[in-house]
Amino acid sequence: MSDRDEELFALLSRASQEVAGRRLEGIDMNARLADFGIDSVGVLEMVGYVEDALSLRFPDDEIARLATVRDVAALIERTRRVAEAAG
Amino acid sequence: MGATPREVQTSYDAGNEFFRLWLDEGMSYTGAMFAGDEPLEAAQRRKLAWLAGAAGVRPGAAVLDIGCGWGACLEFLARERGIRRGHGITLSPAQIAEVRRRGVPGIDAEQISYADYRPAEPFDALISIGMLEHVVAPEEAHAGRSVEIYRRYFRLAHGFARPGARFGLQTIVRDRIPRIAADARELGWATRMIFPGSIAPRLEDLVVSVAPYWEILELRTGRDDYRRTCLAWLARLRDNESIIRERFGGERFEEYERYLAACVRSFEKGYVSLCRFALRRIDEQE
Repeated sequence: MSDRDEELFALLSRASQEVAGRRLEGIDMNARLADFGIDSVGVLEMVGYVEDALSLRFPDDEIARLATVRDVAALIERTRRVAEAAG
Repeated sequence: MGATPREVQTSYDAGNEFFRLWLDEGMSYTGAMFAGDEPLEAAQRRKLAWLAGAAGVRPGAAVLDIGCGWGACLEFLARERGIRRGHGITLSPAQIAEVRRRGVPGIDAEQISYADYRPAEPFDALISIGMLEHVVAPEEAHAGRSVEIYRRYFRLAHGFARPGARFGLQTIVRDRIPRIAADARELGWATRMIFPGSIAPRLEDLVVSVAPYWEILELRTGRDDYRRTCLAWLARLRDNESIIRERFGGERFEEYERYLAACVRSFEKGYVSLCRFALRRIDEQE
């Protein structure tokens, strides 16, 4: 597991603490967000927390397709690339 | 696939007399199209006229209305556009009863899903207003099946129409994702309570799905039109508060007041928008 993965897991865990009042146990890249007992609205709240923490704004159509932790990692990566390319 | 008949009936069989107390006189339960300060009645007629134009409806035509509601569009087409035949399909028995009560010559409706419908003769024009929101269920959307299901819908609609036919289509679309938790929860509540089993499409999914079967001639959004429509419904609901409480119970009034207020805010904030399409059937090239 890379440092970057660890950072993401810690960030999602803080987001869950904020939104659902509990940290995430046993998180890995393949974990599905729904399996942590977080409903679809909770996922949106977590996304808002992650956006604020990373100073990013994810495209809405991509948020609608998030299912796993890996999806979140990939979305952060893509959004960063677009932000950097746009200066 | 999509909302079940029982779920659709939760949305539309809450009593025709109840809806009559806060919709316009024609009973259109979909976003209107406003010009200036005109009242809801005029804005609903303007919307129907736009969609009739989008569908290329001519006098003497046979028109299919997919998800015909209480028959506002079919009656408009018969009385204002002189169609020969207007056929509606819906999953709501209460809506069919209202279409028939109107007694408009050449107009009828039947209880059948678009997925099972196979007309004996192709129609000259198609119209569908506020029905596409029921085609995909929330769990299907979350499983990434939206495009596949919308493609099937547009393929079936292609088969309902004659070559070269046009299709006037209006639907709510999901747009911005709410980042304000209270808004997200309220929108989620409204959808589950009032429209269980349904989820509005995303515009990008429609653009992809429609392509093999229908050419987009025109696309017009109407987010503010729908906000104003919901505001008008909410005002009428509140004007009739005492009657609604007495005849349908306090809970019904409070539920619909909360739902319409959530809709106003959702259109205002851009969580949802409205799309109107003029589509033309794609046929094999000569």
